[in-house]
Amino acid sequence: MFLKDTAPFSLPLAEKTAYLDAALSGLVEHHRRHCAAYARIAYDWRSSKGAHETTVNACPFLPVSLFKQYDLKSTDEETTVLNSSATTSSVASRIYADKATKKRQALSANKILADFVGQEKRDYIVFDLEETVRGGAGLGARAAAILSLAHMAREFHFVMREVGGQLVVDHDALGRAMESIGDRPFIAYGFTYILYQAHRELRQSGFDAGAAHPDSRFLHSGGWKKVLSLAVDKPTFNHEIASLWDLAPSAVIDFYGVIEQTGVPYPDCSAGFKHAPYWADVIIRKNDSLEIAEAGQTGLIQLLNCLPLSAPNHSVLTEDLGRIELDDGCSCGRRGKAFTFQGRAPRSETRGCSDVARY
Amino acid sequence: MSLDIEILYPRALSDRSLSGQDASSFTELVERLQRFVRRPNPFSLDDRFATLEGLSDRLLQGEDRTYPGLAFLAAFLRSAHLKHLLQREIPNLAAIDRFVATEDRKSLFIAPRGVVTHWIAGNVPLLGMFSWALSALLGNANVLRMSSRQDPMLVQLIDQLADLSDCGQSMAERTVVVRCDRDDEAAHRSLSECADARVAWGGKEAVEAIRALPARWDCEDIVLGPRVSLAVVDPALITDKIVTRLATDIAYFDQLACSSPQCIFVKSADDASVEKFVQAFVPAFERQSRAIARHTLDFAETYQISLDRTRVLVEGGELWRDQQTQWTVAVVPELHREIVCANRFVQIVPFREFDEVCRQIPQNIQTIITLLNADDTNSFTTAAALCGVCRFPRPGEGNNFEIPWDGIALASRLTRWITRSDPPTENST
Repeated sequence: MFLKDTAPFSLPLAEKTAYLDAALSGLVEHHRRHCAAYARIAYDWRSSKGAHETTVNACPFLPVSLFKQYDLKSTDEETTVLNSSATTSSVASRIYADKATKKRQALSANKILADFVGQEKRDYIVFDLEETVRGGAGLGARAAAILSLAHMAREFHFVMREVGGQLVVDHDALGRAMESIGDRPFIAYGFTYILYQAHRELRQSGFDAGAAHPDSRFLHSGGWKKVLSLAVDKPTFNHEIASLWDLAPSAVIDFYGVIEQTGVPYPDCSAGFKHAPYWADVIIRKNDSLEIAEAGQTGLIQLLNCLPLSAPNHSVLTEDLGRIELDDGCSCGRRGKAFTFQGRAPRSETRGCSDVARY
Repeated sequence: MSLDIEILYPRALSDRSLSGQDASSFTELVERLQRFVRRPNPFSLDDRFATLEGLSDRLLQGEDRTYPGLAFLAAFLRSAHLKHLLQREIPNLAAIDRFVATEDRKSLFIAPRGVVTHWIAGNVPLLGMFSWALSALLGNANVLRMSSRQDPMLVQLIDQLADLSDCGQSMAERTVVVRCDRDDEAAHRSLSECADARVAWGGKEAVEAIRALPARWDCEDIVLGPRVSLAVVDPALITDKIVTRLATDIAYFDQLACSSPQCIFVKSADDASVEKFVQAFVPAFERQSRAIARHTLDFAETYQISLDRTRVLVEGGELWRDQQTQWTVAVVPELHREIVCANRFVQIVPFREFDEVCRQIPQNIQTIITLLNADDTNSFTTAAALCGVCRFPRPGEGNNFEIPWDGIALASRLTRWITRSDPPTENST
């Protein structure tokens, strides 16, 4: 499915659209044939919209919460289940991935992140527990995010340990990692809140890493809620992390992603925007109508990609808010839409006197 | 203790908020209300009926007559309607004005309960006006608490009342409208402790919080909490007019009122009868959803509709809906409790025996709109009444505010019944 000698963010809009229309059309048919529930959804979409052809802008989408309630599969092959972090709802999404899908996901993540960090393998500092990625049959969102960078790793260094149910920095492990890395560039990853907490702890303990190689990168993903509750905004966050390693704040890269679209991380570019590779796209949908929003309008984020073969999670409607900032022409040089993530959609206000469930 | 209670009415006080002032400022205001109710009311019940009828006229003629629910309030305030409601509970209405003989040497006087605090529901401020109107009609003084984000519609209504007549002025004087923050416990405590009766409108969290506030031991609690409503229909009886009325009952108040049906149980002798109902109902529901303006859905509500539609499809249900999110009709084999039936999302569930319906009636049921023949109406309502149903209106009457509401005889709860043994007269021994 990946085009030869084509960089992830290089296709002009018309070519990208043509590619996606064909690929998504094929995926819709594939899942329609192999997943009865999806077939009903696709049928409803076509009959209600009068749309007989699948295009990027006319592709049925599944709300992500659906994967928390139902086991949706399009294969009888052996699969691994990815579990999202159970956030406010305390119920995790279950996403099934077979061997072929996992291979696509790994290749996809590799290509996207290489575009931001480079191809060269580096030592990989993980601000998490090693146990997190040893989830057996079910992997959580933290594990999926950690492993999405695995292809870039020459060697893993897990530098956290658990004390009384809390994650704290394992100073010995971090010391060994730094000794092993020396003055070479490295990559590091942590869930946003864990990375922040670890650096606060390091700063308080007087940790002095010295100057890291300027090509080193700190990646993070996951919710900002806890960090924002500490009155720490993004520039402060970047400064807090980067300054400890004598790096520029731009060396700290936030990437957005959802478990339902594993394999397609959305890192921030140098302009502070996120981009979709040619095998994926982002659509922003308006409240009240679910129609496609124009650039500059905030709406629900719909994510599409051409990777999933074992479950119909190729087009999902998230509970997150985003905004298309540019239809094309980002100063970072990447083609296509540039968007920003605006946080999770707030809960509904209580209206009326009826007993209506709120979520 | 300082309080953050903003006084919206009386107008004379509204420009000097009690914000940050000593709690005694609010206490003084309450004491004024208490003095009112301890003195004989200068206006009779008939005067008050006439005044509320006048307010009804104003509402029907006013520029705000399209305000959601205002037409229902105007209808509720008609004299004939209010008299009829009171007579269900009070055999001799004259007892509201004075002692009246009820039997030999026995008299009864039905006095106001005192100061009644009404906590107005989140986004349905008009609902509070129903309990206020009844309470004011019975001679009570009233404190209406609005949330900090509600618009001042209620105050405009009280202004109109005061402008109507001397009696209207008197009823308005006995009304205080305040606004305070949801989480301001001190303010809510003050509102609660001054009350002879507390009327709590709202969702579970809100009414539980109100009930948990300290109150006098003899305070009467009237909880008009979160309820759900249904409809039970025999397709053999439908006409275009009736189906339109039912669709209106659902679409009105954006299907967010406790009286809004969330599910229609359809009597199905065979598949064709359900099909017949769906074919009649869907276009009517679509039409009424277009005709009656709906609030703009926020992102979470929009997402929820998309999710619930997809749930129906995944589980094999049938779906009728518009291309956007204006209305949805889902035909499902059983009432799906996780689906949020609000904002014009209605489930249709076929049934053969009434027992099937009774089994699915939620514990917090309020209304079941029925369209059944006389025999079926009798047998179904008798069984369903014991499952907690409070009212069985016909299509088109679903949102009419009636007494009793939520199964509560409001007039009795908002009054004190005083008996008197009368001295023997010359003719008696």
